[in-house]
Amino acid sequence: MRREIALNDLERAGALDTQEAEFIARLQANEDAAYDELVRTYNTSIFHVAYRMLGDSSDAADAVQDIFVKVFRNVQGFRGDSSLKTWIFRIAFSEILNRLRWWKRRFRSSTVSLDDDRNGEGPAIHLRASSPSPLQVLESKEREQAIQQALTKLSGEHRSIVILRDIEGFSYNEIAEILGVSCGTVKSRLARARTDMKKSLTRFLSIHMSAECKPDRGSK
Amino acid sequence: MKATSQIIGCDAAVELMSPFIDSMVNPEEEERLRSHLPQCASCSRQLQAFISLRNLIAGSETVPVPEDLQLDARLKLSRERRPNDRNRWQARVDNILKPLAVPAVMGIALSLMGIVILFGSLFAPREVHAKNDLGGPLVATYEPPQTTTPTLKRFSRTISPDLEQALSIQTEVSDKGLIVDYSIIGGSRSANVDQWLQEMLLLAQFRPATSWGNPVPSRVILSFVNVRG
Repeated sequence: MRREIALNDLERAGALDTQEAEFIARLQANEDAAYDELVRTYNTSIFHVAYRMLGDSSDAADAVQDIFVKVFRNVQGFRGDSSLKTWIFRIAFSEILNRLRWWKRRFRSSTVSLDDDRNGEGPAIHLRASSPSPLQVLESKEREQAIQQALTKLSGEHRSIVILRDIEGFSYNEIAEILGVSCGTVKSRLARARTDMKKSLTRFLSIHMSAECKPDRGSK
Repeated sequence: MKATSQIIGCDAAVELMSPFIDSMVNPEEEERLRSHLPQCASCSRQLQAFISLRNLIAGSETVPVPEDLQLDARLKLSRERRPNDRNRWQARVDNILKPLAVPAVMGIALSLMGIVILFGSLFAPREVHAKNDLGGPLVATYEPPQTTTPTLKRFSRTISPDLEQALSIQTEVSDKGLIVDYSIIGGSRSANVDQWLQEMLLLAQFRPATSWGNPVPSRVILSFVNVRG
């Protein structure tokens, strides 16, 4: 038994619970309440993913609407081979990556679009209830901007994996299902993406990375 | 598991760090990495940096969802989910046909106009053609022309020569009421008669004839006879 299966406890292939199966049946029956619940349940998480991927709030909102429409159009063909969430995110990433490719063809990928940068002051930071100090607000704002810029520097495939894993918390297998790649590809792309992110965000990491590694001593 | 552990270099160790922090390495790989770290402070820092990075990303602020997003998504979905397939197809067909409808209607209208004009010109009676040539309307109700005849306004009082028989002349009266031409249509002609006629007609003045209130040229026949006694 592979350790990853034991560790993640997220392997649910072919094992839809009854509640989810009923919900899918209601969607397939085109029940109004089921679609209201679908939107209510997933609109926030899909929006956050879309925002992180596209870097623009209005683009992300448009993508969310189109994603739900695609879910409706394809739900009749859903056979339950994966969880509903995984299936929905597969559709979501298909839509989002298509949009990214569309923008890339128009050379937009070289620009950094940061949401709420309407006054040229960088992305807005949304204060928590604890009312942080102005210094904390400034640091948080700077950190958020750096994270989004670091994500934007990654390719669409690498960015997808970082967001799915480190922000949305999907397992490697779920990410592989969502993106339609092998688990090994997820592992290698994630390692590469994290290495690139680490370089971009060095000054925000609690460990200062000044020392160089020793040369490889020829393992094995 | 120390016995199975193998020494790995920093590059191999760094490769294992990303899956390691996600608990996605197998026991052998985990053991190799764990045996390397105590020997390499740099790799230990690298691993801490990976963990810190993951926490940094995971703890990043979430942007607020637009207030209308849920409503907009439901509306768009609702439009897509219209249960009446016929309406959906009709809407799609309408969307395709609408841009074509205006040009098509205009084309049909122009074609019909062309056909009407063509057939009208083919089957119109010749009289209509004649009236068209005169600049009159194609179709109009007939009303008799409202005309007036010229009336004598002024005539010279000259002594007429002796006329052996009645003299008749036809005069052309202009729309100004003046005689512009004449011809003798009856009676004997002589030099005296011609001179008398010219003097008399030169000074003659008519109220011109009118048609629909407008003065028009006309013809007047005058007859002269000698009255004796």
